[in-house]
Amino acid sequence: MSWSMVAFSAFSTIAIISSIFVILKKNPVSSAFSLILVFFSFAGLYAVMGAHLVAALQIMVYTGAIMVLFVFVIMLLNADTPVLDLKESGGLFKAITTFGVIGLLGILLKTVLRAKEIQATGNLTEDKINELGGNFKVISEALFTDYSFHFELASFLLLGAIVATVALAKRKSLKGSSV
Amino acid sequence: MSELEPAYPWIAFSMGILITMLVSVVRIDTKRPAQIFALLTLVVTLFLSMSVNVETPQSLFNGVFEISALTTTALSLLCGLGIFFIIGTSRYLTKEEIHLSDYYHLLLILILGASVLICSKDLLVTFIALEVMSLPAYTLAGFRRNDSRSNEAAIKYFILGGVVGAVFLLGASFIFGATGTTHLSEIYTWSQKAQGDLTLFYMGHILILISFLFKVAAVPFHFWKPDVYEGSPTSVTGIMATVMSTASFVVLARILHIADFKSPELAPYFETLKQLIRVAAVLSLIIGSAIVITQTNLKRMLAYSSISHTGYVLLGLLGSMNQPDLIYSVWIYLFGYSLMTCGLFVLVSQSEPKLDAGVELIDLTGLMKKQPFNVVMWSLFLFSMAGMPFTIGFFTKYFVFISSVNTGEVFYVVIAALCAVVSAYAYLRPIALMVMRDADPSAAEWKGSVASHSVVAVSAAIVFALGVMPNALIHLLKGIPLQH
Repeated sequence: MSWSMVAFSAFSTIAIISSIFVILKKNPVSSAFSLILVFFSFAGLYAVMGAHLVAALQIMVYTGAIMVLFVFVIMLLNADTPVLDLKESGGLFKAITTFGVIGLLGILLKTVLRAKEIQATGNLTEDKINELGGNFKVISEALFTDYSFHFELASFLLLGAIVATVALAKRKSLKGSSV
Repeated sequence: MSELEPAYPWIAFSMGILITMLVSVVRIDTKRPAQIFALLTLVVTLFLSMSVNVETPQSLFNGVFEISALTTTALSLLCGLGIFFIIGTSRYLTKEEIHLSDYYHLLLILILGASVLICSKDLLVTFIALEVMSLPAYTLAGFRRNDSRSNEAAIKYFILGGVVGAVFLLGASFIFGATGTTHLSEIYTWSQKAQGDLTLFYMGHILILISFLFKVAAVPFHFWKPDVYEGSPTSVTGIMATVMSTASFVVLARILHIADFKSPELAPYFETLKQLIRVAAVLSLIIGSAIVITQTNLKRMLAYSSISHTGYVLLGLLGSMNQPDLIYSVWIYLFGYSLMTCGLFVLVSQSEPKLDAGVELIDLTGLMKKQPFNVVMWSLFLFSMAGMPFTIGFFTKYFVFISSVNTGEVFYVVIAALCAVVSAYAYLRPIALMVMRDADPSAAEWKGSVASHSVVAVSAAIVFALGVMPNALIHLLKGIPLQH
């Protein structure tokens, strides 16, 4: 067993166990912290696969920004008392959820079992990326050449999001003072 | 001569958005500058888009951005609709106390997203443009903050929109996995020599198809539409019904023509696909037309009516799948439907707001005595919705039916014609209420500004003129193919 296999098994075990905790814990704060652990192990998995940039981004964006916001919101709403109780939901809801989950698991299982047949279609293999100068270089070059239009368009998406947030956050429109 | 020259309308549009934002920051005490600059932006873009030379379609930015007769015409239509709505609903926004600079910024970004969505030849760009279009729409839907229905509309729209985005991304990633590219033209060339097990491609295609059927609210993905239409401010509902559905339908057309389905490998899947579209079209027609006659709230009625209109457009798309040059029936439908819906929503926005209640059919009673001019306008648009002759609504339906009959889908044309007859009741009932009934004591007041009356009159004139002499429009739209 190579070291990457060991790392892969370790990270995926942690990911599975903590994602189970995310839905089983009744305290939202514990759920949030389990989710952070899930994201950390995902970052580990990406690193094992050689996608170091994605691993770093995973930690910075998900763990660093999004989950901190989650925890903040939980703290601000003072929702540390257990309120989520699936026992309340009806039988039909449970049945649909169960079927949905089983269906999704089936699709995932099929994908995993067929993984050997599916060929990576792109022309950037791990060796090719290393030859070109590593993940960071390849991605930044693509971002500012082939994907420059996507990049510019995304900036308008962010602009729209900023305006939308400001518009929603101003609870009351003061007459004559809006930006 | 820059190679970017064909893209000038879009570049001017984006610059205009930024300038509008800057101006409204400088003049913080009033909303007028935002409104005026938003209008200016749209007018400039409209003229630029009409002056672009599109004899040979081209793709810019590495082939992800198509500039052709289709995209420039669509941009002109979207800008025209934006201008109509900004002029026509200014008084409505003041009445609802949402006449804010933010409103115009978000509106412009929404229209920009819609126009880029139409031009997109790349699944990634489609996704980003979809979000650029939808994100302002979620916010605008919830602009009437003190109304719980508006909040409900915003949160429903946001959550479902998020799910739709996720479904689209999953489908796009499947297609990328199968084909190794996200460019639509490369997917097309791939499909011409595709062999072996194509399940991954089919799954991805079905998923992105579902996400856009969701966006255009085809049955069974329609349930969000009535609530969102009812809760959103009327001007925003109008934008959703015209700008956003036009853009979504164009993308839907691109998705249905994503691959070369003539190749023998893909032929069985193509039959299944057509069957799916048939089912969605027939269900939208039947459910839309059946429920529209039971509605008493005007905006809910228009929501169900737009669901049945989705059915007609899907029939047109079905015809174009059999015979690609018939796609012009879809363009005519989108053009005509946008115009009449725009007029109708500006009319709906003229009602005085009542505390915690929407615009009901009963509010229309006795309008004949109060505003005879408006009754004529209402009747014209409602006749057009029902597909009566002498309105553009007749020709929109006529060409869809023709294209379906030509491709052998006679059975579905019969169903569509029956549905048109059933839903005609729903469109004629408001006219009867306006003309024959005296004003109900609870009926709302109707007051429109000069600007909104003139917008209504102009769009009514276009609806009528194109209903009498549709040749110019048909000639223009007939020559617009869907590029691969």
